[in-house]
Amino acid sequence: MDCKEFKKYLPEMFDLRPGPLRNEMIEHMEACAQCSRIYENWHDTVQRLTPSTRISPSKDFKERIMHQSKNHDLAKDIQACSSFRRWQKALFAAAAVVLLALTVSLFSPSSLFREKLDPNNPQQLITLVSQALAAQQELIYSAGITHLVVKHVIPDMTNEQMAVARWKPFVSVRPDGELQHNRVMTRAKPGESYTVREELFYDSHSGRFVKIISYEERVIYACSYDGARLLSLGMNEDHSHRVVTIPADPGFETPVALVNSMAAHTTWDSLFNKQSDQIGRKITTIGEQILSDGEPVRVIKLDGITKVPVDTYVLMKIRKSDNTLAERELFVQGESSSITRYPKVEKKTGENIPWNLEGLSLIGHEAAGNNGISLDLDVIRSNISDDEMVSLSDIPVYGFSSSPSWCLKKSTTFLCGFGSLGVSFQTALRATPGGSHIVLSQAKRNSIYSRMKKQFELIHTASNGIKIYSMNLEQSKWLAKIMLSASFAVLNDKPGPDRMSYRLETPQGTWCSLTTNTTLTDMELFALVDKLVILSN
Amino acid sequence: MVENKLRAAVSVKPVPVISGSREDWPECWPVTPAEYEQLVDCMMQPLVRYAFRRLLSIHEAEDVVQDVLLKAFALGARRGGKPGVVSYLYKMAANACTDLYRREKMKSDKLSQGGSFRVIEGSGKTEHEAFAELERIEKLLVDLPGKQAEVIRLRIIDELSFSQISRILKVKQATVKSRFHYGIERLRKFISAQQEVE
Repeated sequence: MDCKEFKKYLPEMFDLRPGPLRNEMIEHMEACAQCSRIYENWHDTVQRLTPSTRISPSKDFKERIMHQSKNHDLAKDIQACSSFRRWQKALFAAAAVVLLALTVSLFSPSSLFREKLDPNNPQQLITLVSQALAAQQELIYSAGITHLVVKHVIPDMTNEQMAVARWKPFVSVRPDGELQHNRVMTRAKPGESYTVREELFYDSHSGRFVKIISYEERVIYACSYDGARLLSLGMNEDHSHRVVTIPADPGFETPVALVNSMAAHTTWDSLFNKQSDQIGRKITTIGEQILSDGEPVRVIKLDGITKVPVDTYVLMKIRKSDNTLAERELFVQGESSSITRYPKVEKKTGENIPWNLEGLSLIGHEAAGNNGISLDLDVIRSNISDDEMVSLSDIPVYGFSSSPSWCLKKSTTFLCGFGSLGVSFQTALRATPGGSHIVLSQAKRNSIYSRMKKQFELIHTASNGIKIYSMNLEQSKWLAKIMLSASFAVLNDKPGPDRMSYRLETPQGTWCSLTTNTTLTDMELFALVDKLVILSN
Repeated sequence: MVENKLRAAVSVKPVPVISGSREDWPECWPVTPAEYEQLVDCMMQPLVRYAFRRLLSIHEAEDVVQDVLLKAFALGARRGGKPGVVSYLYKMAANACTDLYRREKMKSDKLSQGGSFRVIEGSGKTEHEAFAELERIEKLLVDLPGKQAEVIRLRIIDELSFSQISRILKVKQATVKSRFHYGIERLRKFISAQQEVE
């Protein structure tokens, strides 16, 4: 670092927590008396601005808020808010009429009664759908029992490899109120097509719910909360009809994500609000269609992730009647791979709801086998410990001996792939937004990199024997984007423009990928890899 | 390691403020009660400091922040899971402080009070001394452009990091650092000139 850079980055020395440049700046100060004096002047100025007193809230302040929030009349607030919004809308409408009248008299009388948003404009249609789904979301959480039935259609595919690799994720709830991630494998062979039904009853007042995944009215998996206990019933080895009952932990609350995972707005938000701007997907309006149930819809197309060998795109079908999402159809290599049909939200009176999973029958062994249906429970676990990593892993696994000073949070996520994919672990280290987030990915399937070794360049062998390889810049940035996006839940940040990915070969012969959100200096990268220690025996 | 090096370097003074608010502010509006409690945990202290700077009364600051956090609870039902909670809370707190300040013309009233207040850290300090200290600092900041002064207040008085400030003000971190840079540089020159005159 030279003096010019030191002056430029001087605020880094006064950030609340040490940033990646601070070490270099200190080293420069030790060698440069002039910059050291500049720092001292700044330090004195900051000291003059630092109050000698610090204000903290009262000791019982949090308790007061939490107590009041528990007694808070949420419904009243929402109603007040809605009623204010209605008044606000009326006022805006009145103001708009006056403004329009003025404008019309001057310019174009024909524009007076034009609608505000044009559903034929894809961007405006997205806004209309977002508004409609937000209204639907309010209905889901309003008083009464919500009933949702999402239908997952597994269409006939000619590509056998793609056809047998299809699956549907779903969530259930643990006794402590945490989500459990599961999946139903739907390995329909070419020429076969069927529908898996995902049904939810949810009482927003008591938190009771029933969730049923079924095929032709036979249960693949069901779980419920009856107000005191969690019950579950699922396909098992001996196909015995066993309802497992576990008392809910004290303070158990039904997670909102259980309901949201089935509501169309979650799909919509993830595709249009969060990912599209990061991945640069193209959205086009492609026309209108009548669905099999006679519902007229507008269709928009969302391109898949670019630079992926498999060509994918999604068609979103939006009801013309109320702008809600009716269907989401995924195309892989030009073929329809899966269709998800979203319902209109229904309210039930509460009769004949199987809160105790009574009267449900499990799918037969033959029906499940013929249709390639199988159940995998607990396939994603976040925040797992090093010991859990070792017990879940099928290869020797590595962990960081200590977290870097800038690390705010460290979390390892376990993912259970299907078939030959095996298990994988993503260890994410979160820095401040835009900072040097790190993601270490380990999986048995990474052994494929040993065959691609010639494409990588060995840049260093660390003291622990781990070899660091770089790859071409475009490939590195592409992979880094995927790794960082996949760890968004921990990092809470978009991939940075200077992100990089490296391949690591361990002395045990396994391969990992190491991704950084910023470009590290060689010394920083080597120091980071030096921190990796083997966890397995 | 960095701090050890700092200590080792004789000519380098230690970085003035290391303690401060928790860095792990939530990104999104709370959905579950646990997330709401986490939001309260993270935000109550920085918001109270922020409100105190504007109102010069810890009681009023706590009242404002309590209202803001309860509104956040109510809004969570509508906005749950959506991003932008931190900047929204600061905006609500700023608006609530402005309303209260205008309504009660608090500043002049409060300066005439001199009661002690137990939650202020620093031995023997009273609430009166706390806002006298703020007034002293405000006099130094008075000639700075408003945006530079606000970044300095948030960083030094409210003890927030540059990344947290960038989230509150909805500007890039580089912009925050640049405002801090120009602000401190300007003040440094002003203080040096003043010392020369003296």
